[in-house]
Amino acid sequence: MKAVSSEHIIHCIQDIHVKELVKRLNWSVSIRWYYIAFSSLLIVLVYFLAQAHAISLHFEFLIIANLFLFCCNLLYQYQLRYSYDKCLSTFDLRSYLILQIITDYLALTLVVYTLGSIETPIILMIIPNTILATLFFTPRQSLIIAISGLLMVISPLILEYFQLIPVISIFNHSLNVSFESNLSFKTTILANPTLLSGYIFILFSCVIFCWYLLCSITTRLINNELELERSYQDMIRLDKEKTHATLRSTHELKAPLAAIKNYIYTMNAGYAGEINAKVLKIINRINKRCDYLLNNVTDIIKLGNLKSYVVLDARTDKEENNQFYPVNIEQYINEFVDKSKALSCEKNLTITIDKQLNQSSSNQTDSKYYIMANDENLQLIFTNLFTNAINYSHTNGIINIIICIKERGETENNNQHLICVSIKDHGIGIEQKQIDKVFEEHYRCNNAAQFYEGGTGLGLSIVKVCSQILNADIDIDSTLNEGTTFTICFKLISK
Amino acid sequence: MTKIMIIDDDQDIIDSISMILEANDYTVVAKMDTDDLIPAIESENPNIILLDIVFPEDAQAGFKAAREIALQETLKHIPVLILSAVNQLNNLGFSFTENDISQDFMPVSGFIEKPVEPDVLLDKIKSVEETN
Repeated sequence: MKAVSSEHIIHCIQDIHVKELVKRLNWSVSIRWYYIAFSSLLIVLVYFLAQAHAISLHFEFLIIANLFLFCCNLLYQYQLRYSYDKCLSTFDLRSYLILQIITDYLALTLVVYTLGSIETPIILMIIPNTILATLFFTPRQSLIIAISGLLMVISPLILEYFQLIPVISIFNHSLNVSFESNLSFKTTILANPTLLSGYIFILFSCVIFCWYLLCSITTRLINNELELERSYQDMIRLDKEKTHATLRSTHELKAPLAAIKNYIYTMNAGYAGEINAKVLKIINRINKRCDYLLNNVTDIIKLGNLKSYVVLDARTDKEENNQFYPVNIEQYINEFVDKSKALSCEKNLTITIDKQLNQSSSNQTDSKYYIMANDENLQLIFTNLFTNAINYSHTNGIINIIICIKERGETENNNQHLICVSIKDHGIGIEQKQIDKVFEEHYRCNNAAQFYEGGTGLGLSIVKVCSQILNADIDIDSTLNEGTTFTICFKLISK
Repeated sequence: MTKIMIIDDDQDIIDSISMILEANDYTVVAKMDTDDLIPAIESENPNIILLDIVFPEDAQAGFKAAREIALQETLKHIPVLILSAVNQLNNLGFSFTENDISQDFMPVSGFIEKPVEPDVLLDKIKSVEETN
């Protein structure tokens, strides 16, 4: 029986310690339900056994203890639901924990009195709550809680010693046989203050030893956690500083280039008077080199930011699902091609779109092919792949865009549907031995560098990181002098 | 004659843009920092402002200046065009687009990315003139 879903409560409580506390409170309530169920069953069984054997047991006390725990646990379960609605602070949650620990100790006191603090090891049931206390309270507080708990559960023994309450022993009759003095084992201890003091001393030693052991472990764990949190905060701070520095460096690198380009535009448009052909040729070379530098600077910064995103933010965003949204990929590709067709005009390229969408898509009959993605990453992927296809195609060539559905077997009965977009050019192609290297940063094949000098060698690295962010698979197939096909496959979602 | 005020820390940008604008019958005045900006604008009383974002002393000085101008009763009618080398389409984490233009965050009339081709610059200015 699970009390309240931890995930629901955690949803509204962000603090890591509060999350942990709520989890443990849930855990505590659940364990208590198991205990109540198990002990109730045991009471019934022992009741019948007690009839057949000489066992003296006050069942009424055990039933009272169970009923008390049952009622309190119902209340705690309600409190947890309340904490879900109200997003309680650590202080309030700790108060709840204290209340739960006191309840357990009270019930345990009654059970210990009934079953015997000396004859049975039931007294050791204080250990789970000691663990909880060391996890969420300071060492001093947890020591006070552990000692108070022990005092509470041995209180019946002390009251029995002073004869303020009747002496109860589970093995009263059977033990009488073995002791010549006609006293049970318990009454022997109760009759001897030295033995009783020794027994209580051993109990205290055991509990303090457990507390010390747990405390040293939890203190180390908490210190490690704090250290991790500090490192995480440092990383966040450094990332902010890095973003700020990137902004500055982008500006510092781009601003002079922008000024040079502005002059080139101004001269080319004739605002600086007539320019002879030789000067114009030089200006155009300067213009190309400027474009290359601008693209390179932009790509380096872009790639740096994407990599930083993968390291720092991707996991959080995936967990919170705040980065991606359903995108109709078929529609996206149509619109993308429409917008980008102009780029292919200079080389007079023909762009074709071939849709092979009805082959194995039994569950995609409504022609809506959605993937989880965002516009920024899709744009970077398709702009780079499409621009590459244009740059490395021959004049008057063809670029084929193929959209198809594939299946990937995740389990025997559960196949994952993928939508794959291939961008196929019939250009210069890549040598087989170089195919594995094209996603490396700044890598350019010799034939590519000779054919198109404006490339930065970073476009495919950007595509790779973007596909990693979108959890997409990218594949390359190429033959030298025949062309290259890049295929990117996304998981389809049902919408 | 339309008077355009260029506020940019880069003298080369000011010069190249001035060449284009002056050749198209605009009057150009320039300022290379955002110090005492409001009195300077009040004194020049331009029809359009071209404003850079990143200045040496403050990477967001342009934004701050745009907000300051928008708060002035006497100046808020002047259209401000952001003129920056920070690319709006490069997904750099801190980039912005024309969708970000708002009275609170970026109270400006448009965005021009440096370097700017003469035709693009003139079209943008004409469209702002027509709107206002």
